[in-house]
Amino acid sequence: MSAVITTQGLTRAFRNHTAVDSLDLRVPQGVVYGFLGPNGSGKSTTMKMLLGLTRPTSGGITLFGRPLTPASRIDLLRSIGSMIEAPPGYGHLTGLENMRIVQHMLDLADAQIDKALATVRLTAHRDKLVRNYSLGMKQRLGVAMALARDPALLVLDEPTNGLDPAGIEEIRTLLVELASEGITVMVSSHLLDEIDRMADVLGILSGGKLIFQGTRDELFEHSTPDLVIETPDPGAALALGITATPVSEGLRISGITKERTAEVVRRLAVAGVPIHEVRRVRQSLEDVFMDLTGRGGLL
Amino acid sequence: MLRAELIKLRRSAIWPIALALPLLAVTTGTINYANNADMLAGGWAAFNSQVVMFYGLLFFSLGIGLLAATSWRAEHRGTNWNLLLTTSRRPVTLVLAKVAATAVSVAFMQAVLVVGTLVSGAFVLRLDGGVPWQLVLVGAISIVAALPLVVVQSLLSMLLKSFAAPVAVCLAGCVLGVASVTSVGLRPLSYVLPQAINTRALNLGSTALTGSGSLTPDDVLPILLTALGLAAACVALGVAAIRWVRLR
Repeated sequence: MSAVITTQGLTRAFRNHTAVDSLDLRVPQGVVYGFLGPNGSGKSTTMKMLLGLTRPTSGGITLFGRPLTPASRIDLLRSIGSMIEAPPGYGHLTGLENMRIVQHMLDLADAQIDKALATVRLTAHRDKLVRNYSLGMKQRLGVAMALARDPALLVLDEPTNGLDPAGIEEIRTLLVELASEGITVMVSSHLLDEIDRMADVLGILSGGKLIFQGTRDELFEHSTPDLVIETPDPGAALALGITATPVSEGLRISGITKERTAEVVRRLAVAGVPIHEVRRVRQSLEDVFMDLTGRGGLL
Repeated sequence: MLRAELIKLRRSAIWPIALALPLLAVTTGTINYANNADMLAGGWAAFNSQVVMFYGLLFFSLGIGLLAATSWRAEHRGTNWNLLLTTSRRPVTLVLAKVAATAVSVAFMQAVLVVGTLVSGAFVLRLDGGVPWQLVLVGAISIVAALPLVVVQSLLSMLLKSFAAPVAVCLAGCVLGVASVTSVGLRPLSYVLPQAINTRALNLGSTALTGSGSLTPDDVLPILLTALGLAAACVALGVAAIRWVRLR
């Protein structure tokens, strides 16, 4: 799959700290790329650099196979819709007037504006002043502004920030639909659940460094879920010298490989410790994320 | 791009400013003229001098500072800057569109001044004589003369998030402008200081300011050419500022 965005050692340093450190991103074409990381991990700075809004201290960016330079930036931006940090918009104007501003700035056709408003289901509210919009409507207007130019790449920074569950679901469905139409969507979030349910590829950022990049399955492959051994006699198991944490069902062992699991089970069976069940704990993305950040990443 | 900027002017707070300042000048000028009618001979010329005296020294330039600051305030709110800078337009287009939109509101302000002066002179003061065409001409000249200040204030308001700071700078310029047009020693400054250029343009043919010049090519052309040259230089500065300050 060809890459829409690649970065090579992308770094942005400020006087006191390095916000983004040697990032090698690869965003394939036509996917939802979930850009995940806690607040302050460098997501917005990275996205600003991808749009040419902030200059990297070092490293390079390639978009659609072309290096991003001051000379190529304007041409590349024609294919990139974006919303960084919060939705833009002029509160004293209506939704439609805001869209008309985008239309005149980009020389777009009326049909493109109508389509973008319809896509985010704002057509019925287009004549309302934006200052009277709900947060969800403002977010959707921001997405419509980004969509109006019919972009090949959509860069959205925390588009679900502050939305209620229904609003989050709406944006999530929209982004998945857009990706199915061939638009590459790069979407950032600090909320793992949001990304978990829409992203095909994940990039996880922590402290400015990319600690994982790959599919969801690849991520789970890298992580070892805890092992739970259900036994009514955990004391007997611990007496055998097995390193484990007693829990209500029996024992819980962290970071244990398949081979070590077999060895532990064999020792318990030989010692006559009753075993009712041996299973891996089902992990959420959050568990994996915490596991990763605790271990310093996989890259 | 200009059409986008003109849309932003709808329901904007610039209109009350553009309406209030010239009306204030017309009102104070009318009261002044009515109270001193015995001393002020000359009908329309004397009345117009009363209107533009304080307007030319302070209100007009300060109004431009307020209009530019109000216009840029909307861009500093939220993430509208990101929207502007990802439009695939060149920085020079952004600067020119904003300057042109602010100039439109300045033109409106001048139109209010001219119409207000004519209405007040004709119907309130009931001045004799035909409608003085000079008023309209000075109004039009002063719009061109205002361009350097429109660009400078636009540039300041673009770079400074604060609403008050660029207006304060404008006010300081007004004070310096008054000094430059009233003092022989500082007179050369009045040819390059945008606020002073405004004062000189508005007082063309006026009897209120000594040495204000008349509506002849010899007096008008230097003002217009200096204004256009200064405005062009400031636009170039604005473009460089967007490239090096906003996109760092």
